[in-house]
Amino acid sequence: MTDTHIHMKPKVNMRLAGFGNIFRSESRKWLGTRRWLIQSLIWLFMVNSLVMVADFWSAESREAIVNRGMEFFFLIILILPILGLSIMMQGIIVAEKQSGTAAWVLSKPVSRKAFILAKFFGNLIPALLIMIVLQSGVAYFQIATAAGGMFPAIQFFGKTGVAMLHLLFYHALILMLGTLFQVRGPVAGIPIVLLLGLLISDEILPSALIDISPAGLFTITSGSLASINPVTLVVVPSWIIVFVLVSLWRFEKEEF
Amino acid sequence: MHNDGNPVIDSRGLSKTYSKVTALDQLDLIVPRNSIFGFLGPNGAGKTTTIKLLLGLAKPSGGGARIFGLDITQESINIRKHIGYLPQNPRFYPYMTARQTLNFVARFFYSGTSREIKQRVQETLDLMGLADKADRPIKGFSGGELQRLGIAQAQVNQPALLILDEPAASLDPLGRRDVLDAMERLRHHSTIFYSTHILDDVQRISDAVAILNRGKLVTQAPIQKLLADSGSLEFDIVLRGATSVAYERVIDQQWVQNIAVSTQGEQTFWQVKVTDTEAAEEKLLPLILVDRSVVVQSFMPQQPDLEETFLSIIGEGSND
Repeated sequence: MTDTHIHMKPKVNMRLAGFGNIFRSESRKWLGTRRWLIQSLIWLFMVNSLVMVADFWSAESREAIVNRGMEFFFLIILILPILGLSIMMQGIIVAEKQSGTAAWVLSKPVSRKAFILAKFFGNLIPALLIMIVLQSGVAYFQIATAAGGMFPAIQFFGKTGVAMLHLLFYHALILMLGTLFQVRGPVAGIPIVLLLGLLISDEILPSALIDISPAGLFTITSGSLASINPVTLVVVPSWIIVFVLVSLWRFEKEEF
Repeated sequence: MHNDGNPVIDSRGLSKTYSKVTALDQLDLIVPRNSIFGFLGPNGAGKTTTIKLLLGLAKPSGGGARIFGLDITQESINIRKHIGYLPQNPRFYPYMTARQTLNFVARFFYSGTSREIKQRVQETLDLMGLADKADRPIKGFSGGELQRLGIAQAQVNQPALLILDEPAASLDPLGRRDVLDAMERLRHHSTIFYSTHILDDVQRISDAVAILNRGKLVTQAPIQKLLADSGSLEFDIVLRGATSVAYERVIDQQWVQNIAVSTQGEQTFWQVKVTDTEAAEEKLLPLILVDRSVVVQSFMPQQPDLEETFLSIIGEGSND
């Protein structure tokens, strides 16, 4: 054996052993390859070309152009990325369980908590950047162009933060479903059914139910940031925490 | 952690039940340090289940085990820092190259500089003959190349214990030879615990074996002792002359299992299978020589091979 006797220090034990390595690997799948460019172009086309062809450009006043432009953009950004995310992320845990790569990684000094959290954050950050932040930036300039000048950015980017929270809810849900199911169908299907179901039944469901669901965040499309029920802003992050905790609990029990 | 004399793997009553099916039943296993330990058994015997329990990929239903003196359920991450593992069907991320895969694995073990890790990875690629394929995506790799990458990633951290699950099962003869050569090289640094059902390989490189059948340990012993104790020694004898009287005398012995007879010209060939080696070594030849009309041209005790021993042990176990 040609051994050069490299004196590398073993890593110390920790509850999140392996997090950094898996996180880097997951992020690199998006940002270290051409995937970020391809995804950025796809979402630019899907979201911002729709904004481009929408009819708010011809509204009678500058304020109306801004309001209608924001309404249209935030309706799109609350729906399309969730559909895309459900399809793209359906295999985030299930595919690894099916193929055996999860078992392989977990045979290294890696904690199961680290595996789940690294998958969650490693994919979340690129998804937020590409699907929401980039598109919001472009949409801001599109609306500003239509309105003939810049408009107050606080409301716009505050709503962008709400759209990020909305995506975060579904990302956590997909993660949890990945730990609960052994096949992809429910992992992709349940978030899509939930999103569309809440949208369609918005008028018939009691408002209290809407307020404790991510559908409560849709008020930003037609109203200001202040139009969101504070209950929604407390409950939706709570759901996210519950989903992540259930994922961690379930994955600890998984046998390979 | 690695005290001399202490076994690397020490399991006591290790058991695993899935629903109502017992996959592993009260396994007591001792794997000595610096040995190549073959873990044998037919398909479904519980070999892979045992490996998964040792690695913390599944939880025991009963009993327990220690590796390097550490408990497999309480201190699994600490144990895995010193283990290299090759799964039965190695699966890696297909979008990575071999070099990226080894880098990815190495970073779980080391916090050294990138240069040091890259050097270690290159060394491993060279050792496993993968240097010229290092920057190709894995999805284009052949079965043999994948297996070599599997062994490479299992030993990139220079583990004290290598666990290999059927390392040569899917390989052609050349691939198998490469894998066995790699195991021989690695024995100087590591204890190697591997499961297999290719018995030729086991006989060639193993120091000790354990045989598992239907989730139960049937036997474990150093390989030479297992062969010597197998109790089915065979004698190849070449005779000339009238052998029928000698035949009757020998076949009447309690320790003679059977005699296969063939003839060629004036020569008669006997293959005498016995159940008591000591009695046969002492009495078989004198029993034949009593008859002066028989000339013994050749008398050769044959050591049984592992395959016969294995089949005989598994056969006994199946009849329980």
